[in-house]
Amino acid sequence: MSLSSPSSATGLSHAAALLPIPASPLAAATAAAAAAASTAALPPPPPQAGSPALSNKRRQGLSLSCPIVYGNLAEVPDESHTHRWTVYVRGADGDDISYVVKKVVFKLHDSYAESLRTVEQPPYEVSETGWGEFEVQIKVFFRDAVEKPVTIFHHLALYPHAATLQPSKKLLVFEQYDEIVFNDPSDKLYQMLMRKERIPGFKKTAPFRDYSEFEVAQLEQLKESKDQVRAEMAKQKAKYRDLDEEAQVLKREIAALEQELNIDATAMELV
Amino acid sequence: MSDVRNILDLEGSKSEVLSLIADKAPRGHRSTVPRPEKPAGMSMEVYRLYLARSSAVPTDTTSQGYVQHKARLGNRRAVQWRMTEFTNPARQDELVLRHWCKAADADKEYKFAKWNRAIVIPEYSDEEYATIIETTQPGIEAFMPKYTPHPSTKAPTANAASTTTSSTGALATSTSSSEAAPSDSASAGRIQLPAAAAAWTKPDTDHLFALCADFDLRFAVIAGRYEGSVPRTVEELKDRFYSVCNRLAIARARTAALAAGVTDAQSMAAFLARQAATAASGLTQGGADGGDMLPDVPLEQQQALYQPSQPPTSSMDTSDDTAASTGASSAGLRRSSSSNKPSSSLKSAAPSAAALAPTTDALSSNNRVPGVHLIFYDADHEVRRKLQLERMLHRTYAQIREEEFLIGELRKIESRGREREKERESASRIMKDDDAGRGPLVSETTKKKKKKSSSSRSSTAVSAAGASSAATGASGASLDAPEAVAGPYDPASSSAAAAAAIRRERPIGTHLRSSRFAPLQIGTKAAKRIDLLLEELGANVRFMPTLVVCDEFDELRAEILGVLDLKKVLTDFVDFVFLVVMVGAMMTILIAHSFVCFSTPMHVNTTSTCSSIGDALCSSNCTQIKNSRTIPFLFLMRLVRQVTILSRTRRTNPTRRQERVIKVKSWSTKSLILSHCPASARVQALWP
Repeated sequence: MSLSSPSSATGLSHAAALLPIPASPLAAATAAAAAAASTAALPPPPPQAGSPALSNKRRQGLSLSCPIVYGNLAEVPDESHTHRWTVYVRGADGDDISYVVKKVVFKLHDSYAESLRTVEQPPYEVSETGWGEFEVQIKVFFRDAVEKPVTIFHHLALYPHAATLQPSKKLLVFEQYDEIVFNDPSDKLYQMLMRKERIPGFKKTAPFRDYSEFEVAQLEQLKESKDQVRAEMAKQKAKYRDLDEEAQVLKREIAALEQELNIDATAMELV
Repeated sequence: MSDVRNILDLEGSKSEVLSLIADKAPRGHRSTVPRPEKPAGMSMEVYRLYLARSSAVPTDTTSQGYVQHKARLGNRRAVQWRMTEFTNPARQDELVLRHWCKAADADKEYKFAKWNRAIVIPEYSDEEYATIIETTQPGIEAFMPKYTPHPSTKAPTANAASTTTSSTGALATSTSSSEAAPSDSASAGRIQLPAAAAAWTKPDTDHLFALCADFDLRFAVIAGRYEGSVPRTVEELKDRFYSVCNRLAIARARTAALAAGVTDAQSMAAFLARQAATAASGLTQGGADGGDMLPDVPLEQQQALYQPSQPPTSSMDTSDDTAASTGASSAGLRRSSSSNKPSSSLKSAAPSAAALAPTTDALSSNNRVPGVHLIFYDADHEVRRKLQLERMLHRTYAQIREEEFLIGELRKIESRGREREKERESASRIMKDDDAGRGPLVSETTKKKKKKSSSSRSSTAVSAAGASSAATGASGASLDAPEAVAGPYDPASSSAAAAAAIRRERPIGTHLRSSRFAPLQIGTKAAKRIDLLLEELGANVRFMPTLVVCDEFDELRAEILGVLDLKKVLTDFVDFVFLVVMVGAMMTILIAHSFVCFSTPMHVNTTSTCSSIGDALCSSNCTQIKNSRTIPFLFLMRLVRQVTILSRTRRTNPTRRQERVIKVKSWSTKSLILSHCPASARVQALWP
């Protein structure tokens, strides 16, 4: 459905692109603080579908995010090839992200024919065969050209390492979770993000990992680390206090000595 | 008109004519005087300098140009000079001499005559000598200048005196200065001055006063010519002369006061002050004979002496007496030169006395007689000053160099210590942050923020599948309002510095949240250290970049930064503690050294020991200590103590002193050895 009116969208985005980007980062930040209060107190009204009054303004102080996963699958297909791999970008839960993503460009290794692969329709993925690991450059373009594309670097994994998953014996998955953050999104993008018009009949890919659980685990780990650091801090502080005391004692001793000596020196002066 | 305008605060509307008429520029206005024109040929830089200092405006050079190439000759008629005869009124013999002088000045008095001023030495009758000078009257004693005795003179032991006599005698052998002329016996006598000075007799005093009159208070000369019953030093002579003068001045003022019917001390003081103010009688300057009894120079000199003992720059010792006496005579002359106009001279005299009064009062809590010009001369202080100078003079080259070296080292240590102090302050700030009562390093704001963000997440976020799918259905994309509210990232931090390092600008437009895991903008070194610690903690994995995790991660990093900061400060602080000790030790050594080299013949041993210690301490420059991670400060303290004890051990007991020296030496070697190997267990325990 969202694909039904791409021409008008691009027309609008062109118009937006012609406009100069208004604010410096600093100004934006200050404006953000001001605008944030209003947005936090009063959530923006849900935009009407197909409302013609789309301004090219940015929604100051707003920060939206779109969770994604990117990565690659790798399997050994047959004897003729060492590996068959697929590099992909998806929604975090295997969902469709075409409501905001216009296209994804994969830049493969130069040794591949047509190393620049552009995917305009979901699923955003490229499958190839090969034997070597390399860094794939993934560039995600958005439906509003005002927003500049996001570049992701993914190191293709064909051989298992610490961060890879192995859902089945033959399959290797190396996948990263990330979030695309839209700070001060344009109006158009904002509406797209709010509406989330998915392609009807989009078949979700089953996710390889439950990221909500993963997040909890990671938070746990961070907390543990933090506790360790705090313990260390307490230790250092105790040491500092001891040293401080020591220094004070020494200082006093020295002062006393000096005084003694001074008196002594003056007394000795004539003698 | 301008006054009216000033009163009415009307400024700026003044016409040019008015400003020209008014001789003063109005307040608050820059002067409207036009800038002087730049003379031709003057460079702009020089002209600006002229403008900057308004008084130095070039004189009339407009016609000539700035640079005058040719001398201007013959513009005016030559002044006529004539060979004329003249008599010098200072001479008694009416001798007529001839000199060149301007024709116009030919009839005037010889112009150098005004410099011929005789110092008026007070005279006393036999009766006065008997009643005022020889006997002590409470009425006079109360007003006599009192000198605060030096602490060292409080308990001079007989032993010490005898030993010093020998030492100064030894020191004086090599002197060739004129001051040291009155050889051993004199220098020995000088030291005992106040207590053991031989009593003065009338013939001696008469002789002294005669000499003073003859030689215009040039005491060095007077001391040379003095032939009393006992040989006396300059200080003794001065002391006698000034005290007699003071007595006479007070007594005469008293009699005048009594004659006016004033009896009690306070009203007498008031009376004398009144007299001084009105200048009714010639008593103001301390004698019935009027005029200047004595110049102020000795008093000024006295003030100089009372300054905190700075190292004397020149050998005042040999020259001050002559300088003082010449100054005295010239000052006296200057004063009486204006005696043609008596009112003005008295006026000038009174304020000068008044100006001097507070300082002298402050210096030695004398109950000063107002209106009576007393002379403050602390013979005891003088003796000590000269002795000090003598010692300074007789230091050997090696001693001077050693002392300079020690002072230099002390400065270095102090400057280093100051740096450390700064770092320490930052540490104490960290400590204070922590002690301020908030929980372990998590600020309120962050807590709040976290709560908020989690709540917002639960309602709107679609970070992951499953968990929040119900919420996802209702609203659209995840809405991370709190992040927007917070603006720049603001994780908790242990210190302000860490917080500042973590806080970054909020990026505009689209970006990946994982970019928040990027190293902090705090310099590669610090970033590396953070990474290292993260690795140690096992937290160097790539975390899942959700908002909460990112915040947590930043917090963790901030805390690590705090720990690292504190660790660094601690490292430096151990150095600082060491430095504190070092400074103390150096100071002690220096003090010990300074008087050891002055007063003991055994100084070679002691000073070399001290300087070798200082040398070792300084050359180690803390690096050794730093590397070996040990600080033998307890030993240092003991060493310092030993040096102190050594310095306290008088030379009257040479064997004991020798023991002490050996002990100090052993301690110093011990400490040197210990600076190479692990020392005090206490320190080791403290080491991080």
